[in-house]
Amino acid sequence: MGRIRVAKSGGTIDDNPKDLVLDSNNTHLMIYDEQTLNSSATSYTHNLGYYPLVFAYFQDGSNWHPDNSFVAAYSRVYQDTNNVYIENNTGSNVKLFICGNAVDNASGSGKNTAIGKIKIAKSGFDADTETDIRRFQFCSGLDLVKRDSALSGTVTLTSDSGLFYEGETFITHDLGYVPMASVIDYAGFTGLGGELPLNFADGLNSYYFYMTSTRMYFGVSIFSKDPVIDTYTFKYQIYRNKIA
Amino acid sequence: MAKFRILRSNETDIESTDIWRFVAHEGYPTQKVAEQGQATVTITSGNTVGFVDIPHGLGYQPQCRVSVLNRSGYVERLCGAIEWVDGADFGYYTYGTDGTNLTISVGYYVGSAPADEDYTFYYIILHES
Repeated sequence: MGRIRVAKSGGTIDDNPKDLVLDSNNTHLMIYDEQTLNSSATSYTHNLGYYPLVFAYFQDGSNWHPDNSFVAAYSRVYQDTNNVYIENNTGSNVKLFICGNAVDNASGSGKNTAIGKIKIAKSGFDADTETDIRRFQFCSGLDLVKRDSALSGTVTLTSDSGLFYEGETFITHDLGYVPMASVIDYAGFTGLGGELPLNFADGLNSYYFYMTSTRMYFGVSIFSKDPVIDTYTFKYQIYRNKIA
Repeated sequence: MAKFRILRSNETDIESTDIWRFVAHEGYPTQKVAEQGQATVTITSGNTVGFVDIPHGLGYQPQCRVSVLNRSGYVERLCGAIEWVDGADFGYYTYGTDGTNLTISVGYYVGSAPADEDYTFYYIILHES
């Protein structure tokens, strides 16, 4: 089986797949639908008939928070096979990115969702006849999640020593728009590699992040009977996909 | 330097510096799936925690997208940890990664499993650190 790879500028096609622009050996996350909904929206119907991977960001003034963030009052989304349900506690907009990929990236059929003139089918499927995103590695008509390696990195912050010991810091991206982003708990208190926001101990402890059009903020709020100053390291990725 | 660019539909400027206008652009790696699947985590009767290790073999701590079929029957994407409430019981769903495994856990803060409880999770492990 042939393989199509596109290296990033300055890289080579033998780079790790994570650093390639395109690689036909791997399924790409493909954004099927983007929606900005106001605060009155309690659901959105996508009619895909399966559970798609969904990313949600909630607006609060100039700040945009990922779902389940305690600094956005735990605004969240959840879904059945045809609808995304929204609990918006910020009183402002929510931006949804609905991927054509199923939550487990399983192959499926029956949908006419594959769009674009360049299509690469998954192994065992025929790009000429398949029509469902779930049977493709890549479809040129569907937006991809594009990482800005230069703007991404790690950040360390130190909490204070109150009863709720808290800390917040920021980096400047200066993109002029609010970018999609993700953060993992990289080192420090847990360092377990989970995705932020992290909420545990009955909401008493939270790690969080949010974005504006110029900055990305990172914070912790930890309850402790024995206050200690602690250090947290988060690894963040900024994507060139526009939230607002 | 060679260029590789695909514009989003309704976009026309192939030289645009607004990268969000592109499906793909030679300057920006994209998110790709390394591993995927469905996993069942069991909390056995009388216990408070269950977990499963899913090997990925990437050699680095990857980003993952993990979702749970929650106790209300809906699918919800997990951030690193979210909490659930069910009557007087409450607990958490969480996951973490290292260079070898994705570990998915579910547990009770208050209460315990009255009988064996199975929880369904869906996971996508990305080629992204």
